[in-house]
Amino acid sequence: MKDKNREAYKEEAYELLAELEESLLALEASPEDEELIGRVFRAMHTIKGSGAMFGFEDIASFTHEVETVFDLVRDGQVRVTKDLVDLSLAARDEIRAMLEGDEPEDVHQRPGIIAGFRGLIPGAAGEAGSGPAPAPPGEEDSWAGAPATYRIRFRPAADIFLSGANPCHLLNELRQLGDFNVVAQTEAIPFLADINPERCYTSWDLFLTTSRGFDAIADVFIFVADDSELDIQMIDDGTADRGDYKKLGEILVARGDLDEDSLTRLLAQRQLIGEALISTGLVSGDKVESALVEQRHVRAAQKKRQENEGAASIRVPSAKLDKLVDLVGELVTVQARLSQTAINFQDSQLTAIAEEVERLTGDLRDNALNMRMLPIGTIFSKFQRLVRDLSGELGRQVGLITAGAETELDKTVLERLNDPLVHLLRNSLDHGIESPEVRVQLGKPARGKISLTASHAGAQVIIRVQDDGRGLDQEAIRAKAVQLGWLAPEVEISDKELFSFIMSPGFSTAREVTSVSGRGVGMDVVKKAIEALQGSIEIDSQKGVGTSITIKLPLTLAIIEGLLVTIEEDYFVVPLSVVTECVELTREDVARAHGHKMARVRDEIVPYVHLRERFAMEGLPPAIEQIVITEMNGSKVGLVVDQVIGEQQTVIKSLGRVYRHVAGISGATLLGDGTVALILDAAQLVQGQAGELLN
Amino acid sequence: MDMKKKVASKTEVVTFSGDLTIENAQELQKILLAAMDNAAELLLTFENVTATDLTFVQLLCSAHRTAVRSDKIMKLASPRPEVLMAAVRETGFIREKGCILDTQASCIWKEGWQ
Repeated sequence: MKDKNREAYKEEAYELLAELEESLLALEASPEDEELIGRVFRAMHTIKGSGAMFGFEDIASFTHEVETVFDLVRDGQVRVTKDLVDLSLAARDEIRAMLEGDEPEDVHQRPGIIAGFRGLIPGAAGEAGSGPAPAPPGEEDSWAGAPATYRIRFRPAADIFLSGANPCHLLNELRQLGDFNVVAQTEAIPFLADINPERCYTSWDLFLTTSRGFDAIADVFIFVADDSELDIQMIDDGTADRGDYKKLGEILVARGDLDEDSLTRLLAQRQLIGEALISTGLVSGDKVESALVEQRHVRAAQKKRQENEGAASIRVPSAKLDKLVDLVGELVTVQARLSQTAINFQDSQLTAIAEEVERLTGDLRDNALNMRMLPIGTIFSKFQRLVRDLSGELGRQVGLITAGAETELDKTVLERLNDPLVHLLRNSLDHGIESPEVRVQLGKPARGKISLTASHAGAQVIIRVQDDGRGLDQEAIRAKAVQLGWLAPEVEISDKELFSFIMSPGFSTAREVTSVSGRGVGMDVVKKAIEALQGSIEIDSQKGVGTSITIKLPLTLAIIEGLLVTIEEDYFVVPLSVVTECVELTREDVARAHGHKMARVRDEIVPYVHLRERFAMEGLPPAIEQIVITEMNGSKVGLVVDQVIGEQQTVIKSLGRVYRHVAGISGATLLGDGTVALILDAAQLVQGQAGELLN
Repeated sequence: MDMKKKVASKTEVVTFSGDLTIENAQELQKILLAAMDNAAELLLTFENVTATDLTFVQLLCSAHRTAVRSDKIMKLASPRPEVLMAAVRETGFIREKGCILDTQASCIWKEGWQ
């Protein structure tokens, strides 16, 4: 159980660290933003508090140092500076290393970071002025954020009515702050003959659950605080997930209304504690009533929180979701068989059931896939840090603008998208954005701009990395392509085709290697990674203006829409995302091309790959074959097959180890009747025939 | 503020109306004291109450304590005016159990305020 809790803590902490990093970077741009300061503080507070609870004492004590400083930032005693952000980011990395259990290479960094934070505290060594000493862990109770419950004991001055103040108004003000309960303490009210009816004899125990924090509560009493007795205590910080707040006796002991010895003695008598307390006169009825209200109030707050959390989300290990999607995949296949069987039997009842199962399976599939969807923003936030650090290293001034962070992608796609995007951003920083001096000379703002955007377009997600840097040099690329013999000097090609050269292995126009680029990963690797995700990549650039790289990806890799085709008796699936149209190829068309594998499609010459030949399949092709025209990187290439059957929902099964590296095949799927169909990797097939097609 | 007194057998009925607030607090105290002197059982009723505040709620609590100490009975009639109901709720006087002085279990704050 303990390990489970520690795992849960780690998971939560990773999420908080990601949020923390995002907030810190935003804070650097808006150092006065109180909301951001609050977010940083709360993240640190939670990491610290839960860390101590689950046995990560080192994290708790380290984070405490950071939290202390951010508490002072909230109070306006410490300003947000670049140094503070740098230090906080370093602390964030340190916490992450501690979570991972890694002993960082430079473990001596930790004391340095701590010393750095301590140095920021007003009154610390080297700092002028004096400030309040930071509270040790666990003592502070003033943070705003998650709803916490407070016990407020308020005894106004007896002559409060004469000053014009009305305690009822104060109670009503508190009521506006959150869930509120009030218990009047009436012990001090005298008998009728002795009472001065214009004086206040009542005091109150108030219970308030609010996210507004300590200060908001204290503010309510600001005008009466000097003459009143006021004690505000946080009794539930909003993180405990149990619904069994203290027992009645414990509450009274915690309040100082009962001593522990008396409680122990009473408990030994095995009486109902409330009755026993009142009958023995140890505690007044008012105080017992108040303790009961406190108990009920906090338990209700905890229960409400649990319900809210329970309703909002539930943590499920991703492996379980993967398994679910696998099972749904199997179900989709079986359902296809059922539909096929129903057609064969021509039984209306069976057909009706098959249709119902088809509908339900479709819904189940969509839901299961949806569960694995993650917003792309989860990786975007990392890039802010990357751009910040790299621009510092390269002496650039660059702002990263992200949009569409809420765009969702399958978890697997998202995980595999990270590296290509990192590479593209590095490229933009290193080769795209000019140094501030050069930019100013060119009449551009000194601060460059990289935008990273994501959006949905049908069943695809479009991700664009755009910079306002120097753009690609068409001439240099052309010269290099000619030099490599990839392009005849006299051939005119479109910019898109020209730019696609830089995604070929062995092509680089970079004159120098920097620490950022030149790491042995080129655009060809990016392209391969994107194509492995069934996606495509396209470059658009204008010299001196900037470069835009567009990645199109399918929403998921588990189930795709495919086009089912046949060659001889064998079935193949072409991912529908790359298919633009299908046209016929007659023997006359072939004869007209004089041996070239080219077809004329509406006045456009489209090269094609003859799959029957490519796969060395025996038999004769039919008189009229079909060309499935695909479009990748702006170029159209056809795949010639015998017959096009139609669209097919395709559950992708990976190939066994022996077949995994067969070029041109990316997987397999089972058809309704149990037949295996191979899924074609159009990009690889076309690449494999590139030389032939160019000729 | 108006006040009517009526003795019905042993029970003295005191009817409050108008503003039961700090401006009239001393007079209200006198009325309650006088009624308490005159009868063994006191029934407080309300008619056209326009306002009330904490001082009156305190007075009611004080009167009840005094009644219990003198072995007298003090009751509040229903229906009670909404302004009084609200004042009692808002100031947290409602109780599940009476205070230590409430030996007869007759605490006026236990029932009829919700």
